[in-house]
Amino acid sequence: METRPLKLVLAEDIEKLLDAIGLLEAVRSGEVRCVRCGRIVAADDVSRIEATKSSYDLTCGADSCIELSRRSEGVADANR
Amino acid sequence: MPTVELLKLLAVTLGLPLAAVLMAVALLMYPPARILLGDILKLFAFAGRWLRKAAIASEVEGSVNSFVNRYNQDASDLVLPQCRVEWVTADNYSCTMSPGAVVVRVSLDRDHDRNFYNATTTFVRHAFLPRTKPFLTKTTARGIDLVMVHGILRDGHRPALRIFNEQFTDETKEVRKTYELLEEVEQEGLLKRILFRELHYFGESLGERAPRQEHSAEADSFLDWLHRLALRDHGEFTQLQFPGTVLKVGVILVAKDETFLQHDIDPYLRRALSYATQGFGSIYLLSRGRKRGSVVKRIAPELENLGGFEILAKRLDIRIGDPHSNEVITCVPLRVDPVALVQCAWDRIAKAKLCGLKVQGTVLSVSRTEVEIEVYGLQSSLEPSTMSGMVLPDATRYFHPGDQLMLEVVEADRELSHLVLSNVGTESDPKRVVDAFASAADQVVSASVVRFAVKEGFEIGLHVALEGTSTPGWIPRSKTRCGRFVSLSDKFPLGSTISTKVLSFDSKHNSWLCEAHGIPDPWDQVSGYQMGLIYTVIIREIAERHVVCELIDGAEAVVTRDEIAWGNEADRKTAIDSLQPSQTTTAVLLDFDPQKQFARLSFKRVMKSKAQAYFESVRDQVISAEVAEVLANRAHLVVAGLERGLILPISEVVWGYCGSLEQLIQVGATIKVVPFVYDPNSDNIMASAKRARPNDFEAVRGSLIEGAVLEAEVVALGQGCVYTNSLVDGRAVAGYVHKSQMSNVIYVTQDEVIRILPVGSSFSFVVKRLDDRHRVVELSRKSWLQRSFLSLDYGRAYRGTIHALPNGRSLFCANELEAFVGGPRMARGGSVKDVEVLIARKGANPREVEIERTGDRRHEQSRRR
Repeated sequence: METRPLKLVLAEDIEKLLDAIGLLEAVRSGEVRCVRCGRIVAADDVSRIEATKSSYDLTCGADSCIELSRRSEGVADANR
Repeated sequence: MPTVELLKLLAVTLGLPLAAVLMAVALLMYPPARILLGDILKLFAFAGRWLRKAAIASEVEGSVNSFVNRYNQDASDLVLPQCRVEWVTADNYSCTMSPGAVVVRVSLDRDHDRNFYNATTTFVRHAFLPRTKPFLTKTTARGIDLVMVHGILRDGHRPALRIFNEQFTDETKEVRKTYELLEEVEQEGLLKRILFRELHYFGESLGERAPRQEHSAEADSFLDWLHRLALRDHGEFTQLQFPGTVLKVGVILVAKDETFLQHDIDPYLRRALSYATQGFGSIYLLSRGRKRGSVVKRIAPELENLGGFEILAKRLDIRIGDPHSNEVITCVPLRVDPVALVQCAWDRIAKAKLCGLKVQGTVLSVSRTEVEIEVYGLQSSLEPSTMSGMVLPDATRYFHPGDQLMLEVVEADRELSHLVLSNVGTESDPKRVVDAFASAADQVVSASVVRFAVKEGFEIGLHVALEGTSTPGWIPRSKTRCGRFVSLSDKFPLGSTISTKVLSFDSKHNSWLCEAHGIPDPWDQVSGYQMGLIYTVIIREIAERHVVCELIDGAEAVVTRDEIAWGNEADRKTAIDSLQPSQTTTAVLLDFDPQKQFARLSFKRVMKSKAQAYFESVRDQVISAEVAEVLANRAHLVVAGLERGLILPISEVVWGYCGSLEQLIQVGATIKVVPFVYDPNSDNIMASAKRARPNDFEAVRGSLIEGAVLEAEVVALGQGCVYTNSLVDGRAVAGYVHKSQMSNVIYVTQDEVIRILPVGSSFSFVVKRLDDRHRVVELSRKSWLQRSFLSLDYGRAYRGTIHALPNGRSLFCANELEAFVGGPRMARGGSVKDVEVLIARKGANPREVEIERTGDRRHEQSRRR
């Protein structure tokens, strides 16, 4: 039967993951902003990480940003 | 499959060790057990990260896969993929986070429901129908995602429905509408069985093509069609096929018991073959109730045996309605394999030719010289030489669409797709009837009733003895010109003589197929009935969603549930309970088409509703009403003594175009309206605010010319315009001024419209255009100011208002002129009224006017002195 992956990261692993992708220092120094609302995003406030061709987009934990992320994902992106 | 409750019961009754083994087995096989495991692991989550991950993964996978498995169990062509949680960590990110991947943060301690909702939504968006979604509108794709997410949460993690509902209110109106539509289709059991499957194939068929607008339009049309089909009322004419470019879907409804009783499953098989011949890739057999379901279950394997049809569902019955409901629909999806169908058809034809057997064909269409037929899904035609052993001057007199012919195979070449069939000398050759009844004019002979054919207590036809032949005759009920509620034995007693017309020979039963002759068609007798009038009818059948009546014997009419009684569902239920079969009552004829043998009645419209009575008492009078709710395209109004209130459509708010209703009316305000029409379908009264304001446009149309100057009062503020009222020859005329026609010196925004032309003020305008369609005059203040500019005098004082603009400048506006002016300092958006100015300089056009306040000049003069 066909299966599809759902990629999750445990909240307590998020800092290590950010470190691995080279964003932890930038997040700690307040240089990374939420891709939806533009607010500076803290490590414990990251709700989603979206990999793009050249970098990673972070979404903060605000409800509106999470919902906006889901809606603004292009429909054509669905088959990635 | 064991349920969560069953596993819990096992754990309690068998003790923990044995139950643990059973659970471990169940865990590997059944998603519901994984939900239970997730709940158990959550209790020990404090012990370590691995347990926390396992708890979350078990819950998410269990919930999603329960939904997926339920769907896939029904289908033999798997459509929905299963969910597999993949943990992204610092060690594996390079191989898991490819471009486009979305990683969702989850935890057990921080709003777990919200995490669960986020994870589920992300999975549904990316994993379900991924190849189809690029070809749908965003609204439709979002609606489908929502209905799937709701299904997963409802079955797997109900607490997260709270988050779903919170987020749902933020969805756009279009998405919510699509969701409601999909939910209604789901309630009728057709969402997963038809829509998901067809959308899956839709995506597969379009493959790697670039999405185009027509693709999404076709998918939306398909959804609308399916919605109409799912909610169709008894007797309602609904298109049973969707002949799209990519989506070609045909539905066969097994709805009328009489069809099956009289003709068995032949008509359904013919219909399926007809769909296949026309290139429909998917066919669905549908029925409601277990009895009709058994007919569907006979048709499906029969079609599969024909070759070229594949049954795609394992479980055919679907329980619908609330969990305690016994209502069942049967839906069998069939996929047509045209190549296999053609192959099987040629095999059968070749075999028939070899053995000298005849094949059965169905007449598709008839012209004077040609008969189109279908044999085992292949199309062919009969020419005059192969139609009959005698010369037929007009084939339409002898053949009709749907007739069954026994045909001889003359030539059959599969390679060249060449097929020649002949009806000459067969049982269905018209010559046979003519020869046998040569002495009877037009094959009309006398027949006596021998016995009645009864099937499941229903009289399906008459066996008759025909005069002049020992071969028996058969008159099916459909050819007796009686309704299905008439007792044939009462109408045609045993031994009675009937005049019959012989139609053809039925070799299968070795009898002559006849029809009753000389009995008037009941629909001819009611052809003079008129829609809107009240008639006496007899109630014949009371079903859950409709009531069937007879206008006269044999002329049936349907009353849909919403036309049974005024009021709410409880009122309708009470009314239905009081009805009895054979009861005579009165009803209003709503729709009537004797050609299609269709009539629709209303019981409730015999009496006036409260709203209708109120409407007739205030019709076309000006009344006061309070605004209760303002929506995008209408407002709801309340008036004393009327429960349902009034509806004010956007087109009836002002004379002219109205872009925004909220701009013109506010909730709680009392407005003057005229109730002008009553809609009996919805029992709503439509009110008009514009009709409460007189507009004699037509009366003064002749005396109005474009370019004329008109004094007008501003009566309302609209979206980018103001609405006006003018007096022409003592008659009121409605008009409007668009913001582009308000000023020569500034670009007017909505904020400035209110200041430049405030409600209640009067100005001069030039008539720009006469809008006959909307019965209004378009006015231009700009043109008037250009004209007025020519007559501005240096010594004359002009009185007007100074407005502080958002850019910090001040604009003076009087009836005759507009110009920028310096000081006094005002807050942005402020105004100073009754200011007097003089012309300081007048240039070549209205933009080059300089003014000074009279107070400033006096101050300058005194300073010079």
